[in-house]
Amino acid sequence: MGEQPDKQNMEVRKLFLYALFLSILTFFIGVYLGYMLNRYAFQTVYRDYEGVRLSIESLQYLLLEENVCDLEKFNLIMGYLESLGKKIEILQNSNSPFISREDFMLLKAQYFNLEYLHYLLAIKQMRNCNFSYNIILFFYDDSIPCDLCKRQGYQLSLLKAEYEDRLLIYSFDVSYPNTFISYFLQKYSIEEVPSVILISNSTYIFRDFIGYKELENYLTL
Amino acid sequence: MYAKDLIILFIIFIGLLFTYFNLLIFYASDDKKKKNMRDLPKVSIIVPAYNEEKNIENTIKSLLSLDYPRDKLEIIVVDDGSKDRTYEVARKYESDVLKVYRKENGGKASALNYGIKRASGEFIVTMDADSVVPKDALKKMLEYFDEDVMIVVPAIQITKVNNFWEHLQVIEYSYNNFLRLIFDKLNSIYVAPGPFSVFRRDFFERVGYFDEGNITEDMEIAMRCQAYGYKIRYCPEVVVKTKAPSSFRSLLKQRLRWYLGFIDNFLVYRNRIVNKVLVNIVFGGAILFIIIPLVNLGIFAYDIVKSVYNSLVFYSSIDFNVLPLIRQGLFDWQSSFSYIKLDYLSRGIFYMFYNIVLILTFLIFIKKAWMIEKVDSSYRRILSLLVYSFFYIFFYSVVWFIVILYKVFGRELRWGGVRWENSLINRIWR
Repeated sequence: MGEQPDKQNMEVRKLFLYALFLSILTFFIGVYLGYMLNRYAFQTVYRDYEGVRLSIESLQYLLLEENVCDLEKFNLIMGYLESLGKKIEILQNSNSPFISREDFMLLKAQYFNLEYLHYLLAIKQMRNCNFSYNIILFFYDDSIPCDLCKRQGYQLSLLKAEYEDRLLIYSFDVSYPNTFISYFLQKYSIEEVPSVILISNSTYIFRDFIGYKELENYLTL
Repeated sequence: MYAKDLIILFIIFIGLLFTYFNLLIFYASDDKKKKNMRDLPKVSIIVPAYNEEKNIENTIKSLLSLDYPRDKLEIIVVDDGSKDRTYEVARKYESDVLKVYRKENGGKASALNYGIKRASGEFIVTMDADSVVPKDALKKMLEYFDEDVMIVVPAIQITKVNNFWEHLQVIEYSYNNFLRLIFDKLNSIYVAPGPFSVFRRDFFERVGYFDEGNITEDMEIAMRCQAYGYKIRYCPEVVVKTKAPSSFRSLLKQRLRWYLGFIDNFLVYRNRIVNKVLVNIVFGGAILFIIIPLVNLGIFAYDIVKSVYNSLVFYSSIDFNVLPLIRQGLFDWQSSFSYIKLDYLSRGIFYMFYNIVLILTFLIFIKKAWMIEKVDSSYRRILSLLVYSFFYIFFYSVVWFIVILYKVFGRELRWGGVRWENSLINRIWR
């Protein structure tokens, strides 16, 4: 008495193998679903990028060719640009295995280009349309651990929330190979991050962390 | 992908594996038969009691209402040195069928053994003094005694569901009633619950009586039965109702005892049990489902701490000046919603698919359990299901965390007349 029948052991083993097969199948269905939805998320953001790019380019042509100053449209596009930046940050933080690093870096580099275009538009509008902005160029580096960069970002988020349309903030990751980023680093002799350049009634360069209260004193309101 | 995501995916895979395995076992046929009892045997029901003056009356009344010939029934109440009026309350019902004894406090197992040694029945039934049974329980359970079956166990459910802790337990008991169906098919039942487990009398003569030093004597006797290669069957048609702890403190004390008892008995019997399915799959699964909630708790705690730390860093760096940010967030709620949607699509969605599969199969198991329990007011159970879904895994993880700490650092645990001192610290210092 007490011997486990071999027949039952074999039956249990068989059922366990079926369960293993079903689990693997379910698992891969989930992986496939994840892949499809991640790609969908990425393409949604990419379409947003295309939309913002079109808007900036058409406003640029309007300003350059027709000398039309449209502050409302400009501010609206700035909002879209900030929203796009936030979405790219969400994609980056998801660390999804289904979005290739190359695809993501290309999107982010294209986003920096858009920011630069918008920045040039802002400078143009300040000259041609007599609009007055405070412009901040913020340089950080995501490829290295940089707590100060994060803290600096928080300061700028608060300033932006406080001053909204009177303040334009353009953030650039110096580890990206965009030509204009290299140009700015050279022009303003920036060797460390975080660095902040404030363009208001004058140009101020801060090559270290600066708190929002101190930065507030330099704004032209 | 973060390491945390890989751990979560592994846990999900294990969850899927055991879920599908349980489903396949449930739907597999078995060749177990019930026996028609023509001549009803004599049965002795042993009711150990300690400070149960409030409950024992209901227990005795339900036993006296059993549909069983009076000349074949013997009820033995053993008062284990109660400090209240348990003995006096029980004595009111003394008769030819019911005898009441009183002994010095020595623990539940000692009271059971005391009763068994004075019993004359061919079958022995253990009965908790805070439980009630349906009238047809005994006849139905006796039908499950094939030649090689030594113990038959019932389904268990709690008597009342009034507060949060009872809502948490009622679904847990239902799930266990379902799991016993699986274990039964695998010949792998490893607990003979105190309320109304039926034993052949000669089982005790072959393997010995209840272990009087064990804090989970019901688990120990069942594992001993498995070690001897005897069979334990489950009678899902009989649902015994028992009183459940209704506060966190009493629930924690009960679970400490159960889970410490599981660890001790598992360590003793894992190499002695003949049934390899019980050892490898059932016990293996039980161990995994201790580790997994602890890992989950660790990940959850890590996420909370990281989130709080990041928030503190953020808010302190802006001198807690949050009003402009709140204003901005409220004004731009549509963007906030699109960020949440994007975050979900890029991070969480395929976890949701697995969770849906696991939840649906869990609901199937619970539905089967409710069929066993003949649940009539399912709307109340839906509330219990919601409480269980949100809180149980957290509660279970916290309890097991405390159990592990106790197993390593605990001094002693007292239960009735039994003292548990089997922690690692005590063993090193002895």
